[in-house]
Amino acid sequence: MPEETIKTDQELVKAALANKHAFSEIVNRYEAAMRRYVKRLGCKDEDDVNDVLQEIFIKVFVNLNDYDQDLKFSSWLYRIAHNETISFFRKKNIRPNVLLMDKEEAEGIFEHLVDETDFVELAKERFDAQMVQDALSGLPQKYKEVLVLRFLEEKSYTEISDILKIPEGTVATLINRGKKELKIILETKGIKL
Amino acid sequence: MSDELSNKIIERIEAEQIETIPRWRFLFWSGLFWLFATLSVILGGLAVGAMLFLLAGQYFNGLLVISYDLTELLLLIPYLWLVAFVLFILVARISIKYTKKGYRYSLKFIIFVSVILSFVLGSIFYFVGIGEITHEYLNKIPLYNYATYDADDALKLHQTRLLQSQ
Repeated sequence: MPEETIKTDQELVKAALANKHAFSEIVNRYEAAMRRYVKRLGCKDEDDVNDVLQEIFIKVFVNLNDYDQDLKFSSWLYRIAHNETISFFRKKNIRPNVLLMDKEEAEGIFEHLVDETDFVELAKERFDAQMVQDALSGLPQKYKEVLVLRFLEEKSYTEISDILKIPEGTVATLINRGKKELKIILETKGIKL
Repeated sequence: MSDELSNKIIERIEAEQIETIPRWRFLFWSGLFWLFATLSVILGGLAVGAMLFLLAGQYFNGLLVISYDLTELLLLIPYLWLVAFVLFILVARISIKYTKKGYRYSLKFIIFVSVILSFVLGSIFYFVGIGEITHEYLNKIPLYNYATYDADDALKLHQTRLLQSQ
């Protein structure tokens, strides 16, 4: 029996445009990543997450012809997910709090705020995952979203630029300012960096 | 990974008869924004061409040299074209922002490129006489005629001021 080759995102898009049922492959491929991202943006209730995910994938399907092959498909998907999640928060009048999945995620953020050489020592002595999560949630939205994309979703500057539709220079500025603000918040909470 | 979500989505697509938006519609909007951006730069070029024509006319009849009166000099600045130029640059900037990859460029970069392109185009328009044609054509409109001073108007203004001072 011949081995089934893994289709590229572009091939999946082409297939979905030709046959709606093929769209389920796109959903299956990205469901976990989108679920995680929507939660990280601050959508906590599981029913809400499912609703937002449905809206995201329906929007992706409706706009499939708008997908620009020069972009990474995941960047385009994240862009739609970001916009849908933010518009969901606005509709429900929710002030989102960043949700970290586990202690490692909080450590990941923390690691980017201090020099690598100091990290292990500092992490041992002063690390508190809940505090990092609270500090992240206390940041203005513009910083929160770039930090989540950079340090939790591990996206490159170009990808973040494509997701948030802002120039790469602005991405760099927001990340630097966000890190500074986060440090200040953590320091006021007693974590010395 | 369960197929629950994908099944739900396919069911909803079928039940609500959801269709993909045709490609031509996206191309149309993208093209429209590029058209706006291009037109704005061309109009910005016309504004620069007309400004150069007005300023050069005043320079060559010696008025910019002989007018020491500050009010008189301030009147000679083609404000209408300056405002139009700024507006065209802003429209170009907004239009480029809404094109597919326009967000990749910073505000400063877009404005810088639009201004440079408008000046290059404007200089070409001035040298081939389009600046003059634009001015002469619009000069038939009373409001435009009232708001701009060409070489003749400026000379008349200067003579009137000289007579008043004597």
